[in-house]
Order: sequence, then C-alpha cells, then structure tokens
Amino acid sequence: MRGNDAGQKVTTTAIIEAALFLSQEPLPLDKLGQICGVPLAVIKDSLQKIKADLARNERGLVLLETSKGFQLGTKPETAACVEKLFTADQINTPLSQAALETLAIIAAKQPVTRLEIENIRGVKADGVIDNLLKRGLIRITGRKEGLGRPLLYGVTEKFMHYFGIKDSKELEELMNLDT
Amino acid sequence: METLLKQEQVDPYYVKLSAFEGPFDLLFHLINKEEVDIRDISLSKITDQYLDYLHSLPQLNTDRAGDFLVMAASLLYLKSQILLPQAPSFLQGREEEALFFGSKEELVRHLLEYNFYKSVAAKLKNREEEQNKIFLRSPGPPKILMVNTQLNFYGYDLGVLQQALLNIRERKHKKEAKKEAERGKIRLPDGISFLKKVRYIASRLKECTTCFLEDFLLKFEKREIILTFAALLELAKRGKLSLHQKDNSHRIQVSKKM
Repeated sequence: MRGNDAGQKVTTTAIIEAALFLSQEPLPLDKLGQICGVPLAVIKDSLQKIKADLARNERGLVLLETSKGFQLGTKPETAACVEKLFTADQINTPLSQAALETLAIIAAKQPVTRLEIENIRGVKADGVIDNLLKRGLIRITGRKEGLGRPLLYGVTEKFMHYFGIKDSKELEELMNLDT
Repeated sequence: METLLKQEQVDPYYVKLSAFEGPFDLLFHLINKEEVDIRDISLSKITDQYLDYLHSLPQLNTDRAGDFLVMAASLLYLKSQILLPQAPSFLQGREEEALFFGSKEELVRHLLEYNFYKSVAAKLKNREEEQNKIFLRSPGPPKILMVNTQLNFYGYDLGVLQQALLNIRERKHKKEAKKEAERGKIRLPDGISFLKKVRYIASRLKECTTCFLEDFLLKFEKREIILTFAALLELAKRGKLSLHQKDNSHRIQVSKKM
C-alpha cells in the first residue's frame, strides 16, 4: 500500500491501472514492477484482478497482452459508437481475401518465396506482396540459396499486433485444423 | 447477351469470371456448389462444368485467360486419363510440367492445401475484424526520438525512416530524370566521403537550429543520399543530434543537441 499527500491509500492494482491508462506504449511486467516497487507475482495478481473487473458489462475497456507488454484498449462492443469519434481515414482498411490468404501462407511456411506462394494460390503474388510489405505486415527475411536466389518473406511483429496474436504459440494454434 | 441473362435467372450461383481471382477460385466455387468433399469430386463432372462455365462467358479477359486455360487443359488431361487409362500419355515430357497437375491425387492434394490456407485466412479475417474494433490510446504531444546505442527507435519502426527515405528518393528520381534527359549522364563529384558528410551535417545544423530530414538529402544523387543518411544516423547514435516527428503525418525534424 502507498499513501499520497492527502493520506489516501491506494492499492498496487490502482497504480497499475493508472499506469496503463497513461502509457502510450505497452508496459512489460518488469516495468510495472519497477514503477510499483513490488514483486512480479504481485503485479501478475493485480493484472488478473484488473482483467476480471474489466469483464463486467459496465466497463468499456479490455486488458490486452502483447509480446511487448500490457495495454488498455476499448471493448470491441463499444466500437460501433466510439468509432464516430474518428474520421474515416484514421481507421484501418480491411485486407482483401487475396491478402489474407497470402498472409496465411507466409505465416505458416515462413520463410517462403514469392514463387511458392504463387504455386499454392495459382495466381501472381507481386501486387499483394508489395501491399503487405508497405503495410509492414511482412518483411524480407533473406534470400533462398539456389537458382536466382529469390527473396524470402516472413511475418512481422506488426502482423502479430494487427491480428491480436500474442505469441508464436498462439500462431501455431491458429494453424491447427480445429476450426 | 441473351444467354447470359437466362443463366442469371436460372442459376443463382452464376457470377462473372472477373469475380474469380484465378482458376483455383473458380474450381473451388464449382466444388462447393456440388457440396461434396474435395476428395470425392467427380473429375469428369467438374471438368465439364468448368468448360461450360468458360464457354458461357461472352469473352475471356485476355490477360488473365492464360491461367484459366491452363486449368482447362489440366482438367481435360486428367479426364482423358480416366477415360482411356491404358492409352500412353500423349503429352511430351515438358508439356506435362506446364499443367497445374498431372494426376487426380495431385489435384486433390493441391485443393486440400489451398483449402487449408483459405480456412486460416478466414480465421485471420475474424481476428482482424475484432482487432479493428479495439482502439488504443493515441500518441500524445510531440516527443523526442531517443536513439540509444543499440540504434533502437523507441516507439517507432525503422520503417518510418525507411518510408521517409523512400519518399525523398522518389522525388529525387523525378527531378533527376528531368535533368538527365537534358544533360546526359551525371558524374559524381570526387572527394565524397563519410567524414565529409558528417562535417557537412554539423555545419548545416549550426546555421539552422532545426531542419527537416529532406533538407539534408534532397539535393544529392543516390550514393550521396545513402552516405548522408548513414552519417545522420551515426550522429544521432552519438547523441549529437536528435530526430523528432510530431506524428506519422508530419515531416521528420533534425535538431542539434548541446
């Protein structure tokens, strides 16, 4: 417990919530531990409490966990209304079917060449790959040895954040034939 | 035109070829219409339906027709094998390589693989929709980009600088293209070196307390741009200058540090 000038005591949970509210970047566990001056186990416990509390209907936020740390976001159910606060160009344009299929192939088989992608889909991949590179969802990871030394592609951390995939384990689960 | 209209009225699944990105899309469409498992498709039936489909179109879009025709040839080849299993292959070696597949097993395997990725893509689409509904705190007031010794741009992708560089180069190319047309090949002046670039940047910064990234890069040709950019990064790394961007829509400022 900590006290401020007015003598009111606040819990670690409260401090973490305040930090998450303020921060413009995801906050990793160790950073939160540093701010609060408590062991990581206590931090983890508080985060669980926050997550459970946010699940209530009256709360409009969610606790996100990414590879970079924890972050507050708005509850998806509020989107229909709160998105009116933004202009059209500030909102992400959804990806095309071709882009999604290409991303699925790259995510599953990375590193993979353009030709391998084209062989699976049966159509040229140039335009889609350029677009995905521009969006920062894929990157060039190197070159394949052999004839022509073609470029190899893989997904990026931005890809993980974009689809809300926490880590490589979650990505693997996505690839399982469980539907 | 008349036959098209009739097809539209009779067949609720009728769509134009342009709706299909490639021949596999069309094939999937026909298989799903049959509502059979990929492994159980009747090759003969699918081939006939595929060809009927191509024939029903008033004209084939010529730049995409190639792949659709290769698919037709591949299906016909497989159908011929079924009808005449004893007959020797009428294709020469390289010709079979040009087809999408040489056997029904290959076709089924290919369709199953593609279908798997389609289902993953569908899962990704759901996640995308969900994620697009979650909003995060937007970046606040302008902040200084601190470059620590590992050259790690806190809060920004290297992609941002990359994009800035690409934009500059694009404008450069347009300018150069005009000049080159008039004067012929441009020679790189002698005596350009990394050290000279560093000194150049230092002297520019003395004059203007804040300049923009483009100011340092716009008037050089490609090799000089790369050297200057590298020099900028080196100086930032050493803490001699800072790079600062208000948000993604603004230009990148270069400021001298004391």
